[in-house]
Amino acid sequence: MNRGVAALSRVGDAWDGVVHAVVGTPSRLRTALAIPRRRRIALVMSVVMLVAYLAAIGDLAFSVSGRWAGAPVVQAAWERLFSVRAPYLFEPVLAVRTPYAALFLSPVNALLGALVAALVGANVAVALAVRDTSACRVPPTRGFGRLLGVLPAFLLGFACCVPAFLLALGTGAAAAVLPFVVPLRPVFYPLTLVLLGGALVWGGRRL
Amino acid sequence: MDEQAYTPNPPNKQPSRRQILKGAGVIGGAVALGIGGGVYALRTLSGGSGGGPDSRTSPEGSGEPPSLERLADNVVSGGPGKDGIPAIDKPKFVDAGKARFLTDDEPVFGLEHPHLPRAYPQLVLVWHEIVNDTVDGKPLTVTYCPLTGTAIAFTGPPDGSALTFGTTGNLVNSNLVMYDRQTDSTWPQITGTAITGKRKGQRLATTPLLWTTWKAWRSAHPDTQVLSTDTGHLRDYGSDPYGSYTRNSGYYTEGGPIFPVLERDKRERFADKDVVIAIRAGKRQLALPKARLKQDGTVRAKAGGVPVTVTWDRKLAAARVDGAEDAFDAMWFAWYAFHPDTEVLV
Repeated sequence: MNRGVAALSRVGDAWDGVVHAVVGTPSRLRTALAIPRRRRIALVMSVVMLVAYLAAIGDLAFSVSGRWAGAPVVQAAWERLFSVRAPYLFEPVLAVRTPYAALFLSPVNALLGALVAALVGANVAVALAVRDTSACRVPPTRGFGRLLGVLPAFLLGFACCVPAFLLALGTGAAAAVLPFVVPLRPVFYPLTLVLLGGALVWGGRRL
Repeated sequence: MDEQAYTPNPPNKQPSRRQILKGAGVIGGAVALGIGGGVYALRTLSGGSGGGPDSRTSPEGSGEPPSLERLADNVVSGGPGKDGIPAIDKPKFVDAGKARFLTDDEPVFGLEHPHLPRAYPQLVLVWHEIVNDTVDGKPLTVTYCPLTGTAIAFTGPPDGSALTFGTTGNLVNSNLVMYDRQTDSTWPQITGTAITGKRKGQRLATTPLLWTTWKAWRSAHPDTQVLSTDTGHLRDYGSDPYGSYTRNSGYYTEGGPIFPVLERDKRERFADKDVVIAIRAGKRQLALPKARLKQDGTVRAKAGGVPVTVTWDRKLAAARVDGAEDAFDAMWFAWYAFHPDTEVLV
């Protein structure tokens, strides 16, 4: 048999495997989330992720010195709901300030953040399920070890807030990275979703 | 889907035509995706549509002032989209007593008008960069670029047209590139000269702004109006994404430029972020370190045969320039990048 033909056939098989894994992911996720403990942990991780995302893009801010004391508590600018500030970054339409925390709510930003957060939560639930089901065969930390692999994926999600995010790391770091990061920014958010989705499918295969 | 439903081809079985075609399709798709992605990345990084840097520090800088074309070719994306940093189009002002959002040492850009002194706080402008204002019925565009530390007020083009401006989201020499909403021509802030569009080559006239502190300005002009934080946009006024002038920290004092610049001062006469009083008189440019002016009080010089006097206003802790077409505070690296032939008073 021609080797090339055999290789093509194997690629075809692998594709079938991928499609099968993708199609089977929702049911595996449901299985993973069937246990209340996993559901709780996944939810907590999702909320943490959403808060981190909103804080990174500046829509959520905290101040230990209470610098918003005296500022208007609620302000709205609903007409800017779909005004774009940067790729995957929209104008806030509602500001809610307390002395120590302020929320500049953009429903679109919140939705984009929630999507990343949900995928992170799903990855956590699946990793927990893999650990639970394979506890006798592999070291218990292994499921979480795999989670570290998706860390760069959701860090990419924060790339929508460069250059402010990079400036926080120092002007040197920003100068080194910004000229390359800024033009590629439009692909970062979709890439985050693809990588987190891929990690979820990959993790789910072991269930 | 049931886990048992999927069974790949057994290893020894003759591959089916369907699987072979599928494999070829997958490889073809992956190759097309890879090539497409590679071309997109290369085009983006080398400046295809959105512009891109020649090089970050331009070691082959010519020492000549960059032409309009060279500036236009070296426009880079700063991150936000067009109007992603929204200009203030309907500025509201409050009396000095009501500007409680300002602390004493907060920088403000002061417009000395006989009947209508106005203060434009840096903490508002850092989020908007442009205020399309009107003074005495005439347009006045107050601009601020945080990356080059330049606040400039433009009165308009030579033909007297009333232009309003927005941000392009792009930079050249790390400096704000504005566009006018009437012709979509683009204008770097420091030169105030259009580099593209119908108005290419035209230069905007300026009127002085004094870079001072809220306390000093308020004391000198108790009747001042202050640009309000009620801008129509929701921003975290009081936080600064780049650093702090009141604490001398972050981008404003540390390191070099973070976006590409066309020319670098190889003699390193000053640190990148050192503030110079940047002066244009005739066809000549002068740079006077602010620290030196502070020490000497008054500096007299000639620029292209034109006598220029720069005085340190101790009350306002700001520079006043007589005899120049325009003058403003600027970070040294930025002034040099546009005017590598600048004379330097040291």
